[in-house]
Amino acid sequence: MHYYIDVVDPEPHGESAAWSRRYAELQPRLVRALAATAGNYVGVEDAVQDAFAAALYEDPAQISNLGGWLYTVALRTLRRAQRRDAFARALRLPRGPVSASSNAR
Amino acid sequence: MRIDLLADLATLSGRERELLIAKHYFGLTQEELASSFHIPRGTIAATLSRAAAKLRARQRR
Repeated sequence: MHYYIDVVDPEPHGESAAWSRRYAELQPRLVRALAATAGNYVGVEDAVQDAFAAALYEDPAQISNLGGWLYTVALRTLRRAQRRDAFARALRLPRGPVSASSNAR
Repeated sequence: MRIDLLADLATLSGRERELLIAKHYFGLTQEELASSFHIPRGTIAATLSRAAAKLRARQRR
């Protein structure tokens, strides 16, 4: 279950502006690097997005190289997604959400 | 000299590509590579030098 909480940023031009700049600078680099690593763009943008979200929960002082940190985190996410997809294919599981009719008893 | 790096990267193994990009595109140190990839440092060094050798061999052609 997801809870949505509205957070009012107390300092919109301070930390969050710096974060936006880092995002704008690093996001395209990460997408390119991961696509070059994986050989395609499947799931790449999602993995990058998840890595940025995870970074927000980390202590910034513990991350000395943000780009490198994001790359390794996104890479793990991407590999997990690829394993999951391969597993689903091997079992011939349906992709995506299960339709209402297939749940009917 | 133009290097078709993407085509060259495709000849490396997945692990070699990951480490090479983490080191040279994002500037992770070998220590950082070892801890974030959970691989011993010696293995990191060996994998990177093997990958570099493969790329050099291709560029000479």
